[in-house]
Amino acid sequence: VAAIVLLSVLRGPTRQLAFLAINLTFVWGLALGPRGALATLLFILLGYGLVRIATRRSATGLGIGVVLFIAVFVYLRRYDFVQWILPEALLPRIISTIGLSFVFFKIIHVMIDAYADTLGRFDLLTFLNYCLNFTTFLMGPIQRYQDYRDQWEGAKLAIPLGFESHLDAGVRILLGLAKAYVLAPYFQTMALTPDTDLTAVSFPHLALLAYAFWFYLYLNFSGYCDVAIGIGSLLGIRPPENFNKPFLARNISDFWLRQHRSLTLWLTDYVFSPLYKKLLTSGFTARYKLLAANLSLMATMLVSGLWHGTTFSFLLFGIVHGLWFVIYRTWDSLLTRRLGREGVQRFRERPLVHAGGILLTFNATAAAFVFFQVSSARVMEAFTHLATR
Amino acid sequence: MTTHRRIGLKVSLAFLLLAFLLVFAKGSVDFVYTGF
Repeated sequence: VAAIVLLSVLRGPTRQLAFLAINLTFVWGLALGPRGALATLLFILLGYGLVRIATRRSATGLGIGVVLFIAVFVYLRRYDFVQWILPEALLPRIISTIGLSFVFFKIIHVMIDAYADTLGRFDLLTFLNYCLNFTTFLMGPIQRYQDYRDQWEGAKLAIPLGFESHLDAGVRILLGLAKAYVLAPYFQTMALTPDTDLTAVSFPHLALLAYAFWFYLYLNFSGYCDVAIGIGSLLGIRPPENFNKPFLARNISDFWLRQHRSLTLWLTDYVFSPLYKKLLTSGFTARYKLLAANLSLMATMLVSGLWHGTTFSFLLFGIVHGLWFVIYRTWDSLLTRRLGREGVQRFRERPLVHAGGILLTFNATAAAFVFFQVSSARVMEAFTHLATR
Repeated sequence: MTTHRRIGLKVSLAFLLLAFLLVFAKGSVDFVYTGF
């Protein structure tokens, strides 16, 4: 409430400084504690320096900057493989890195856009508030810098001026709270846990646990996003939408455009598209469009998996989604070759095909969530059990 | 639907949600994506 009042009353640098104070209070006091907040702030300031270098539009500068920034991120997050490579003495002290993955993707986006000269005006205070914005700091949605800045400066309206749009934002906050604090915990009691023993549950039971986790994750995460979007709307810096009924997705591609959409669009712009373009213009893959697409999709999903978590099971989560994409893309390509574009369109519009697609996608994504939620140790245990049966 | 009627319904929905939260909300919740 203090933030909404202050941001609507203050103007100019005072408004920026007041928002920075609110964001730092949130990050320091409520989210990370002093050591985590300090590490995050230094990480953001490193990012600022690297963005400044990227604005000089040197490909080498950008390359070194991105690699350095990824290395610092991987080090701070204590990825499993870092602990195998580095001796204990060289590992960072355990600090809270909540929200660091979101800050990391925001800054990489700013660096690349600065290099491509599509960023527009850029200054330290706006950048700090963009990275630390308390509404999206913990779990997104991943807003683009240009969108944030334009709304902050009033060049773009977050929501229409008027009572009803503000009432909608308030209702959205309450709806989000109801999803996250009432409905999600109900499904959580029936869902997979990190310690679920995959060798001890029957297949139908595992399916029910996975379905319950699917709904729990959706309600928990989309509930949070509803609150973030509602508060952001009232502050005048509305983040992008992140969900659009993912349980109605007809294929895996459709699913990722409905679930955590801001992440999907980030991955499309900064991983899939550049890689796909590169593969289409170089060497062996230039002759095989489907191969180039499939390799790019698998690489994108691997990045997605590793972004989601630091352990082996998150890598598997990425591989499984990559595999679903490869199967879907290959099937789609074969179907198009056989029926033609219009034929495929007609085929997809058949009610049974539509319903079958939804059912298949729901089950495929529920299966992938097993690797998302169950610990690496339990997943390895299940693989060993399967191999020795 | 008239604007007044629509706003009236939304205000009612807000109060219903608030009552729902006050009665059923859990005290603390873990957010899945904060682990990242």
